[in-house]
Amino acid sequence: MENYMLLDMGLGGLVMVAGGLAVIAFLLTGICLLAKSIGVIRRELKNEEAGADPGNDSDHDGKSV
Amino acid sequence: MSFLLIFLLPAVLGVVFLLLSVGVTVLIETPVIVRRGVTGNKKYIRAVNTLTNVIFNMVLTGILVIGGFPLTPAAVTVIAVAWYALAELIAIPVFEAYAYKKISSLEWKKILISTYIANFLSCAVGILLDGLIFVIFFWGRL
Repeated sequence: MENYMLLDMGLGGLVMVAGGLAVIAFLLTGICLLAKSIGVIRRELKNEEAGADPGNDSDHDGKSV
Repeated sequence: MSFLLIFLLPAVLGVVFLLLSVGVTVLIETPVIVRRGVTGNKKYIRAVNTLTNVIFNMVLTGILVIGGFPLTPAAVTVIAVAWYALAELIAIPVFEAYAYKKISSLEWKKILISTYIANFLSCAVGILLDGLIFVIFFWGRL
């Protein structure tokens, strides 16, 4: 009879606390993953834009017009 | 000790569940997107799929937890199926196709078909896994 708080909560209360903690941990992990993936997407898009040469004319064959 | 378990274990399970869900999605969709020639940038594919999967799971959790619906097996099934249909048939493939179009030289129609194939495959695996969890937790209470 040591954990009076647990006994007082009852099984329903324990399930609520456990479920709530799982959801909070889930949502916090989700927010971290979201921030990380948005960062990666923005970086890769910037790299893609930097890699593309805006002055590159694919029809250009080296001859002057 | 039991105190720690009661508070630590659910949090760990919450984290593990999301990481597994994202991991399985990325594992299934990346080869499909690469093989169909949409893009070879695996970092970008992983990031896009992580983004859509996390939002998908967070919205579903939000609907179930905050929505105020009774959490009976029937209600959970209806909500999950409705959300799956909306997300996997419309929102996710279109959004992913838009994201891949920014980095791919392939035409829009081919990218869209590729994202639909990839999402249907990952959705099928997701439904099988969810069904398994459902059976484990709700068996005998139906």
